[in-house]
Formats: sequence, C-alpha cells, structure tokens
Amino acid sequence: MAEYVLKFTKTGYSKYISHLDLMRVFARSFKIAALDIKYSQGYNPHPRMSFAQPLSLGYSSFAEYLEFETVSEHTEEELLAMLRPLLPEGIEILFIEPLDIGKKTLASETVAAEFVISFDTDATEEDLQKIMDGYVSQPEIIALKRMKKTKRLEETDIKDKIREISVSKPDQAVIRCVLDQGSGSNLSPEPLIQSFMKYADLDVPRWDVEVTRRRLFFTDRIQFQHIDNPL
Amino acid sequence: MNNITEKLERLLKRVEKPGRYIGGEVNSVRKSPEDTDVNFCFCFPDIYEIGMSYLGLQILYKAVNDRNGLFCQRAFHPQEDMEDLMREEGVPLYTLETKTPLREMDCIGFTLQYEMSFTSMLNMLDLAGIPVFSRERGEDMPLVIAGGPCATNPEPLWEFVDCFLIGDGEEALPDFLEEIGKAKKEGLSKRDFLRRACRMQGVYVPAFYDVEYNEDGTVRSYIPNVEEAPTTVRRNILPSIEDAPFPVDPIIPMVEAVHDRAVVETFRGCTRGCRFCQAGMIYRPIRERSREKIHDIALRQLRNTGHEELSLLSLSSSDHSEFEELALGLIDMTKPMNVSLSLPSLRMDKFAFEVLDRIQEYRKSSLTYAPEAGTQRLRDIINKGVTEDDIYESVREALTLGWNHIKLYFMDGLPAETYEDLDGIAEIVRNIKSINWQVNGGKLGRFRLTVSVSNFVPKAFTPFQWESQDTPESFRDKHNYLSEKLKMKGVTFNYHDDETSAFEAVFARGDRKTSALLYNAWKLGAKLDGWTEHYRPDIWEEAFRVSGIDKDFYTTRKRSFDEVLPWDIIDCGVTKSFLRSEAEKAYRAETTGDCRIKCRGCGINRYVKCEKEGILNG
Ligand code: SF4
Repeated sequence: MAEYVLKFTKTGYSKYISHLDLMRVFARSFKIAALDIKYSQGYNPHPRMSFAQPLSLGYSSFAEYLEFETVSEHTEEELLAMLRPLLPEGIEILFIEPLDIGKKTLASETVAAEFVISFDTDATEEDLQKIMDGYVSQPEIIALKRMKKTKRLEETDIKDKIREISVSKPDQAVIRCVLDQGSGSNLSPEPLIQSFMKYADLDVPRWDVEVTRRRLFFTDRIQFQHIDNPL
Repeated sequence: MNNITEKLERLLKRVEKPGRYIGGEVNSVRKSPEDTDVNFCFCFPDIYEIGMSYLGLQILYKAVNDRNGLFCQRAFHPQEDMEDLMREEGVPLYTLETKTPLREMDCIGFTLQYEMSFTSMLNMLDLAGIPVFSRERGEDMPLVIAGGPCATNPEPLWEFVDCFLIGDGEEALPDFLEEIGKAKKEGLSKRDFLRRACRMQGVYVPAFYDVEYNEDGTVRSYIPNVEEAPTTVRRNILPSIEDAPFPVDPIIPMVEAVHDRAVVETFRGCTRGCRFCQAGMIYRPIRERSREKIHDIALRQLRNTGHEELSLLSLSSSDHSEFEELALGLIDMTKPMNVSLSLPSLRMDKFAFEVLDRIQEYRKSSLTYAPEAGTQRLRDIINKGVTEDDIYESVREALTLGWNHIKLYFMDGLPAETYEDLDGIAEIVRNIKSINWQVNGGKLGRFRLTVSVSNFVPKAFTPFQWESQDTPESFRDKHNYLSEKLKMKGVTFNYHDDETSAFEAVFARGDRKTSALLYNAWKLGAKLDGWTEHYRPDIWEEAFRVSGIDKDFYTTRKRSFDEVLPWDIIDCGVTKSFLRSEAEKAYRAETTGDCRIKCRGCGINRYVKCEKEGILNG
C-alpha cells in the first residue's frame, strides 16, 4: 500500500468545473489509467482520495492537492505518464510524490492559504494603499460571513483571520492576502472582498473580481520533497 | 484572447453549472481553425446534459474529425440564466472547443431528434446572431444544415434550413463538408454550391422546389426550379454498419450527462413492422454489427472512458441474430470490470431471465413490457406481434424470480381504438395483479405496477401516416376513463400531456405552411419545449391564432391515399404502395410477419441488399 499527494493547477476554463465534477474527473482518470487505487469499504465503494481544501467554483488555483492511496507502489514518472493525458484542459499536474503522514490528512494539516484577488478600477495604487491602511487599522473588520453551524450569513469580525494583506496596482488592482484556512479557523475570500469593496466604496460587481489561490500553508509536520513554492 | 473569452468570464461566474459552457473535456478535439478547410459546428437543440447523452453526436463528431481538413466543434442550447446573460452582454452563441462564434463557421448542422426541439433550433440561430430565415442569410453567414429522424419530413423547417441531409450521416456528412471545402477553394457562391450538392444522395435543398397547393390546402405538386434538383431525394443508406465510424474514445462530459455510460449500437433498423413506428420504417433495412466488433468497441470504450455502465443501442436488443452469445460474452467481459450491463428493450423470454439472473444488479430494477394496445384486435391492427399469454407467462416467471416492479407501456388514440381497447388495458392490469396474488400467496407484497400511456402521434413514412389523430378532448376523456379504471392498489398510472401531442403531430406531418407556426411560436418566446418548466401551451395557442394555421387540418384530418404528402419529396426507401397495403391490412386487422422470416416487399431492397431477409424459420 502506498500514499501519494498530487499537486495540480486549476486554471483557465477549468475553474468552472465544480468540486463534485472534479472528483468525478479524477476518479475516472484513475480508472482509465487502470491505477490500482484503494477503494473504501462498504456498500458503495469509492476510490480513497481527498482534496486538501475544496476550492470555490470560479476560483483559479496554482496550489491544489489531492491525496490518494494505491495498492502497490508506483514511481512518480509512472503516475505522471498515466494521468497527465487524462485530465481536462487547465488541470495540470505539478508534481506527484509519496506522502507519509500516518493517520493525518492534508486537510487536517492545512492552516492558511494565499489568495490573489484582482479587479479593474480607476483608483490609483496610492489611493488603494491608503484605503488598505485604513481598512486594516480598523479595530474590527466586520463582514457578513456564512456561519458553519447555522449556514446563515451573519456579521462577524474577520480581522484575526487575516494573516497578511497588501494591495498593489501593476495593471489591475491586486490584493494579495494570506487567510486562515483549515478546520480550526477558516476565512473564505468572499467576506473579505465584500467588506473591502464596501469600505473602499468601490462599485465592482462580484463577477468582475478574479480570485486565485496561489499557495496552501500546512503545519510543520508536512514537508514535501518537491519545492512547493507558488508559481 | 478573443473578445468572447473575456466576456465569458463575467457570465460564467453568474450561472448555474458553468461547466456546461466551457468545453475542454477529455477526448474533445482541438484543431486549429485557421489550418482547417471547413469549420463545422454540430448543434444540439437542447441543453448540454441531454445532447451529450446522445450517441449520434459522438458518432458524427468522430466521423468528421477523423477527416483531415475538417474540424467539428459543438454547441448546445444554454439554460435560461446563461441565455439571458448572453443576450444582455452581447455574447453570441459560440463553439465549446475554441469559443468561436457560430456565425464564423463555414457550416452549422442541427440534429433533429424530436419535434419539440424545433423552437430551440431557431433560438440557437438567433443567439448566434444568425438570421433564422435562410433567405436573409448572406454569403458571410454559415450554411445551415439539418439531419436526424425529424428531417425525414423536413418541410416545417424549409424556410430556416438551407439544406437537409437525409439518412445515415457517418459518410454523408463528412463527404458533404468536403464538398464545401472544394467549393470554398473555387470561390462558389452558396447557391452555386447547393446546386452542385443537391445531386448528392440524401441532400434536399427546399429552395430548389416550388410547391403548388390544391384549393383545399393540400399539396398539388413539387416542381423543381433548378435543373440539378432531383424529383425525389433518396435517403442515404449505409449498406453495412460493421465498419462505420464509431467512437471508442467518446468525449467524457464535464457536467454529469443524463446518461453517463458507454454505448454500442448493435444494429440499425428493425424487421418487425409495427405500423405506428417511424424508426421501424426509416432505418430499414436491418444492419448488424458483428458480435466480435461489438465486443471490441465496448471493451475499448470502457477502457478509454472508465464508464461504469455499458448499454446496447438498437430498436430491440434481443433481435440481434447472435444475441445470446453476444449477451453472455458481454456479461463475462463486464463482470470482472465491475461494469453494469444494461440491455434496453429486451424481449422477456426464457433466455432474458437467464441473462438478467446473471446480471445481479437487475434484481433491484423493474421489468418493462410494451403491449402498446389493450386487446388482441388492436394489437393486430398496429401489427404489434405480442400476445397476452406471452406477457402473462413472462410476468409470472418474473414475479416468481423475485422481481416486484412491472412497467407496462401502452398507446392511446390509435386508429380504430374504442373504449373496449381501454377496458382491455385495465383487464391486463387486473390479470397481472392476480398473477402476483397467486405467486405471492394471496398478498400484494411489495408488488408495484406502473402503467404508462402515451398519445399516438401519426408519423410520416409509417402505414398510419394517413390517419387522423385524436383531439386533445378525446385524449383527456380517455385519460380520465383510464385513471378511474386503474384506481387499484399497487398500480400507478402515468400519461402524457394532451396538448403537446397535437403540436408534435402538426410538425410530424406538417407542410411548408407550418413554418409560420413555428416562427411565431418562437417569436412569442417558445424554446426548450421538451421541458415542462419551459413549455408554454398559451404561447402555442397564440401562435396558431397569429399564423392562421388550422390545427385540425394537420392533426385530426384523415388523409386520402392519393393525396400528395409533403414528405413525398423524400424517398426513404420504403415505398408508398407498401405503406398503403399495410394500412389496408390494418383495417382488416391482418398482421404482417417479421421480414426475417420472409421478405414483405417494403421496397428497400431496390437500393440495398437485406442481409437478414429470411434468416428465421416461420
Ligand atoms: S425489402 Fe423485404 S426483407 Fe428488406 S426490409 Fe423490406 S420487407 Fe424486410
């Protein structure tokens, strides 16, 4: 038995493949590749695989991780050669390597994620930086956040979930931020986008905002052999 | 990045299931449009999940893309949310593969699988920024073609489609597209190209015929107005489908399709000759794929797609001449692969039970019987060669073996139907219930019986093409009558909408005048009519009023045998005299046997050899 992690991108139109459909895509490519993937026990066996963090529909990503188990061992080259031709456009495998983390999962070891949020605006870089300074120096950053338990949108303070945030304007406005991500504390970019736009008094429709996940941060227990820097 | 790509980003974030609109699926084809002689877009006038479940798309996609110089892309009808945004943001309908606007194609082709998709075809043209009327499309617009079973009576669409391809498309379509390539190089105008193309078999160009009408509104004659136009257009018939292009690496849909499974066509055509059935006539003669070939295609498809289900496609699975060996072989193949095998329209005989017994999964599902009519008299009239005793014997076997859900399919509004035939339906249901009673030791148990009744729609190229259709009121009365009669424990009764059948009937036997009805219905907002949530009967009523079309003329009017029918311009291979003699036999409640016992003289063998003629013993 062997465990692997597969790091991949989700760019271009593939960002519109839903989480569920992406699961099917991978399950199917394992099947076509005739990879001896391990199946769960039970009435309705499904391949043992899971994503480190689900990605919202419409987000691009350069840092998606899929864990899976196989019955026998395989080399990285073998797996790459098998799987690369079987994935839709925009899903590129960055690396595959053995993963030895015992009972832990990448999901439980995820702590934060870096996002890049970009949009068009007339505001200058200077304006934007000033607004950002004001935004982050509020004693509380109140945003509408979907509550885990009630599933309702509620106003909460998201400030302590924002680890880093900065803005620049090379061409479009670009907010780079590192947010809590994981089972302990979690912040999706959505409340941040909405509260920032409101604070900045910017009238940018949500569909004109692009979000890209550039990197996932794990606990120190996770050490990849490959260099895991953002692209 | 072209203009569409940029705008699309703003749309896709706002729609449900954006995966339908992005392409890029595994096994979809990418070629460079610039290096292609002819750019073609295959259009399915329904949403992605429906269109991607349709095998014909995958077959033709491959047949065209296998040829150098041709590039086949795809487009579907978007859901309403996407359509609204496309119109709002000015995004024209585009191809999934390269996001090229349809109007930049050399040719776009619609497949016409059901009449209720006609409005969606018009809507797709409009969404693509292509004028719906053929005469309003200039040289800069793509050639608009159409094919599929509904193209056998092409007339309701004559104003919208430049040219129809009638019959088997695997060779005809790529050949036709290659002709476009030649014409492009020579710089021919569309009209000059069509003058040349109409000499090809199966090519019908409506603009090349003038139609004269009698005073009563029936057709008097078709008069070709260019010398190249043939007097009748003969359907394309592949003499054999053994080596016809068939996808072993079909596109794997991005969003789960209605049918997400491997499919192999085992044979085309049917020899049984049910008199209401259009498919049984327009796909003659029966042409089989060999067992070895089917096995090979199935295996390669399963390996290439990872599908977990394999289904066979034909008009009735059991009629393959080597069905037993075929089924057993496929079971042996699929079992170890954990693939479930489905054998649709299986004749439930002894062997079928053996097979189903070995496909364990079937235990959970239901068994289907299609007597189509409630009495032997009416079954003889429609030439449905099944007896009640066959059914009872089979049902008894099924219940004994542990099945508990039986489905029965009937038609109502058949020619010469009376209420006694409806009583016959109830009688069959009662008899099956009492068989269950016996088998289940005097208890209902988990027994369920579903009775589905569909409205008879007379179709072109069938022995019933002259018959009158029931009125919606009569259908309603019959449904009410049956609802009462079938109020029994454990029995569910389903029936179809009374109104849609009338619209289907108008187009199924429509002449050129019905195009106005179609246009008006679309103008008033009809689209995706096959979907209950989109179908608006009020629009259709209004469209009838606006276009001044007399519904009864097309639906309830019985035609005389010597009337010139709008589809007489097409020669589907089966002769009108054969259809007429079948109709006359129906009036005498005489049956016609399977032509695998002996040839019944339908006329198709004038054009192609019937390989299965006389292979069975009477
Ligand atoms: S020509 Fe004869 S054998 Fe051939 S399809 Fe017609 S009836 Fe059957």
